[in-house]
Amino acid sequence: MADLQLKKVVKRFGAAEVIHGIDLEIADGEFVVFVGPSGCGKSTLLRMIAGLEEISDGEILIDGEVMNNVSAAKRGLSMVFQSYALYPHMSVRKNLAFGLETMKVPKAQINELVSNAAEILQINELLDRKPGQLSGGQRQRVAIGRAIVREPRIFLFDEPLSNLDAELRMQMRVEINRLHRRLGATMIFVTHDQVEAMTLADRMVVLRKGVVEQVGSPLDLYNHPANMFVAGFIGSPRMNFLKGRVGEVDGRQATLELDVGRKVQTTFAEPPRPGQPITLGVRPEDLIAAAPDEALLSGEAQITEQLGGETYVYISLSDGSMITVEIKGQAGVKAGERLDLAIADGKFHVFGEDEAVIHHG
Amino acid sequence: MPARQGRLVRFWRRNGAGYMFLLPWLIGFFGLTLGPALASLYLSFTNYDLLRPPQWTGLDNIKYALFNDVKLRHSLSVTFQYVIFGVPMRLAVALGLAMILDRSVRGVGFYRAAFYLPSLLGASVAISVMWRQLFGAEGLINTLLFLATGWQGPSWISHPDYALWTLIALNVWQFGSPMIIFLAGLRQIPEDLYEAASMDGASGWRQFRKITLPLLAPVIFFNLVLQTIEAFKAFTQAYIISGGQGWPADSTLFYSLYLYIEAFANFRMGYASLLAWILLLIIGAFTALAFWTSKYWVYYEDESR
Amino acid sequence: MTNKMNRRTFGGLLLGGAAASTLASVGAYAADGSVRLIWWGNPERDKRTNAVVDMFQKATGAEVLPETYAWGDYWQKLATQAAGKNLPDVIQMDYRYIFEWARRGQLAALDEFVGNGIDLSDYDPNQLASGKVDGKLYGISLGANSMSHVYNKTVLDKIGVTLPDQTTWTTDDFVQIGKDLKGKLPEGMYFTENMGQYEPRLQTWMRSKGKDLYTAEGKLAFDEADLAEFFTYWKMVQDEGLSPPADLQAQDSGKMEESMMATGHGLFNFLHSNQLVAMQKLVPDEIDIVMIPNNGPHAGQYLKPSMFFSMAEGSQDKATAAAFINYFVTSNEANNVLLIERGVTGDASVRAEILPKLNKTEQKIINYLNVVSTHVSPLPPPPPQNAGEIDRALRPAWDEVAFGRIGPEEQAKAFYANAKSILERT
Repeated sequence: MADLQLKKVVKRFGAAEVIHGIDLEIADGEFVVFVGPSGCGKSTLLRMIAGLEEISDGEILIDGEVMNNVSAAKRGLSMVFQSYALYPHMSVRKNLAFGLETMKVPKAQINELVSNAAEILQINELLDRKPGQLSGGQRQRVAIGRAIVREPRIFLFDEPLSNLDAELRMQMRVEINRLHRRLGATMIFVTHDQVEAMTLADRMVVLRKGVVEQVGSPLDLYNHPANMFVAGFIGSPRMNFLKGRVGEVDGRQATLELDVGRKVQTTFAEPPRPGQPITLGVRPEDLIAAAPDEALLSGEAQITEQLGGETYVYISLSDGSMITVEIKGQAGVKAGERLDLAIADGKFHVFGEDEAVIHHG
Repeated sequence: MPARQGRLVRFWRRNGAGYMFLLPWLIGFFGLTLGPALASLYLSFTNYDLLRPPQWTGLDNIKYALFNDVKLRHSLSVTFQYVIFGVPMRLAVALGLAMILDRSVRGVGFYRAAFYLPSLLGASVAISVMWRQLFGAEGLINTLLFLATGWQGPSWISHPDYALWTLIALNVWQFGSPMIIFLAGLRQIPEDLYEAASMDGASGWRQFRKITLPLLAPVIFFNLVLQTIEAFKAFTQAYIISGGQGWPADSTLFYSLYLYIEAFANFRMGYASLLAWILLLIIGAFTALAFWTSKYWVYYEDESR
Repeated sequence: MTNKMNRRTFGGLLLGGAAASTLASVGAYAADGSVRLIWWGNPERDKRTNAVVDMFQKATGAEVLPETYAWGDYWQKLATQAAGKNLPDVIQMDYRYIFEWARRGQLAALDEFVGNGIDLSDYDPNQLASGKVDGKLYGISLGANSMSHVYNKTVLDKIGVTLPDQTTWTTDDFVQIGKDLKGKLPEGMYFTENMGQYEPRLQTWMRSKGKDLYTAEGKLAFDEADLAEFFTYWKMVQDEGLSPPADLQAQDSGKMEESMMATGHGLFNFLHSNQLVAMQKLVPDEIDIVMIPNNGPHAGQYLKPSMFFSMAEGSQDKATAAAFINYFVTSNEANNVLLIERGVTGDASVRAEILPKLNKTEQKIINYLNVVSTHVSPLPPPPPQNAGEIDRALRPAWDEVAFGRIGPEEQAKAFYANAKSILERT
């Protein structure tokens, strides 16, 4: 178990800088998820922690020790690869034992550790098979087993569930969660799937284009996104964004005039500027049906998606833009039906011109 | 009978076109390979001086080869030394250089071409003549040695203790073609296996032993078999560098050179035919041995053993 | 022109008859026949031979396609061509091998051409007889020569040494002179090349004792002890530092340019008398020729037919081949170019013609042969069938002694037994 510190970490490939000075602290035993769209640098960051990529600038410390010049083999970390990277010519048992043999652990102990790991991941019957004979999910577990068996300081996961089908992915999520609880180890998990991130993380690090957009617990990021990107990235279906501007300002109270809708009144922490362009963000599940004269937004239903537990309705507004509404249960909304919506409990966010949040609802 | 005829016609209709396309190769095979091979098998039991018809001598040739032919044993010893030292050395150099050239460094394309060049030229007469000059008493090698250490080396190509080693060196120098094959094999090993091994704490050497070598085993096997067969048949270099006789003191009397001398200098074609068949058996035995042991050390990824 | 192209071929003409005939058809004027010629040689011989070929072609309009190889490669190349039924029409032959080749039916009997295309009226009948096998004429001798030693006269004169009477000096004298000269020779030069590998030297050794290599019945005419003596002598010569170290000597693969004398490593060299001209061309200092020292009471040397021209039995154009041989052997024009490079011709009228044209070196050869002819013993009988193989086996056997891998007596025993078994093989 160890803690991790990133101090102004920079990565350059040739002349191109892809990671721009990241600071981060991860406590011992935390499950941290690096999440973001493709190309945001999350894998690169993970690989720098692992030692598989050179650190162009800045420092990475594990347990207070600078790791910049320490090779991957000597950092005492484990990594689960997206492609599993199991040794195809070795049996599962040998795959698990490989790292221990490298460390010259005595045979009896190796057997014990391998059995334990196999037990935890329920791969006992697979020990004498070769990776080529296993299914995707089985290989996944062997890869995790290989990571566990060496009792590393930190576990690194590089999009390990991306190659699995939906059901297996959900199962493995639960298993990884359980694993974390059982081992209590520090784990850093990289994924582009925000559902995985939300369900597994103690804390999430949202990355975009080599920069940390926001760090916080999943609900933190959900409820208090620092900017439009985080707000739009977290939560499915995506938050609705409506453009508008600040209307009358009276002290800290202001009226927001939406381009497509009516006005909203709210209290700001700091008085905004009148006429200032803003974007209003409201999540699909925070829109509720309202009476036409009290509704904030009105539009025509275009498409209805029935998932059984909830219904998503895609509505086009007066200016042609689309918003999404989530309705609990099985709502019988037909195409073309007119819907009038209001925001529940003032749960909206206001973002300024620079897309940073100015107000949380 | 109609039924039999029908079957033949059907067979021909189904396979006829295929056999027609194969015909040129079949003619070549029977006429230029199998036919002469069988003729030579017959000749092995005769006395044939090329210029008069062959005379049947039964097992005399075999008896001579097994019990009396000192030169044969000697040439086998020389050839075995050449194979046992030359082939592994050539493969080791080829693998080593392939690993170095596997990175994408600047100018690596140039180096790959440059390293491949010797194996293109290697079996030629010109290179052999040049090699003889290089390693002579006053050749370039000795000149450089003298400049570097002040020691006057012997004539490498005409000293029986060293002459064979100059030929082995010539063989190793032509590492280019196995090197290219190794490069292709190395490319097929996924990079993330090495990364996983690094995470598992394995150093470069351990990665080489536990990942590169086993996954490269099919390619190593291929190169090993091919290079061994080639080495057994080595002729041109030995002919030129040894003065055509296996000099000095028979130390470079390669098997094929001995075969050539028996056939064309001593007019003993019958015996030489027997020698050719013996070589075939030896190479066959080596190849069979290689295949038999391969199931213990060669792993093919599509096998589910 | 076709001639220039072929002169430089190293063996490309092994593609043989097909190539030859296509090239012949490329010839501009009406070819009066076309033949191929093959010889072993050295740069000087090649030059003169090619000149004669040109002259013949201009004189007759026939075409001659020349090929030449070094002695070390010659016999195997010839055998390969014979195997392909592709022998050249005119073949240079050696006394040692002519019997083998004639008896194996490869050579045409020339009797039908004598007086009928080949004019041998002035030719010495004794020399002519040397080309006869089983009563038929299979080759025409291109000249007589005898074995000899040559030495660097310039160096010896500078040191101020005179050699004893060449007709009586002994192998002991030879070694003594060598010892006296130690330390006085130029840098890198040894007293003599080591002759333990030469079958001709072995022959003179045996003949000096009144024996020979082979009897007329085809058996060994010497004893194991004689051979041991020979090996021991030459090992001693090497051990005393009178000849170059084994590996340096072994670099000589039979080409004159690689010999110890030509590379400046030897004062004395073994040579056939007709090779003096070619050797002189390779050595900047003046060289001179002397008889071989004796190791017994008898005359070791004999007058040998240096080489023959033979005709292939399978030649397609025997008439032209005969015409070429005739031109080569009997015409004044040809011999004014060839002179005595292949030996002193048996044709008296040609000898008279060329005598005034000989230079200093060539005169040495004539004078030498004059001396030798008074101290020779009879021509040895034709060698038995596998004599060539025994000749080839001598060198590696000697190498083993030279490199110290086996003692002289032991090797003599082994070689003797080997030679016997070679003779017994068919």
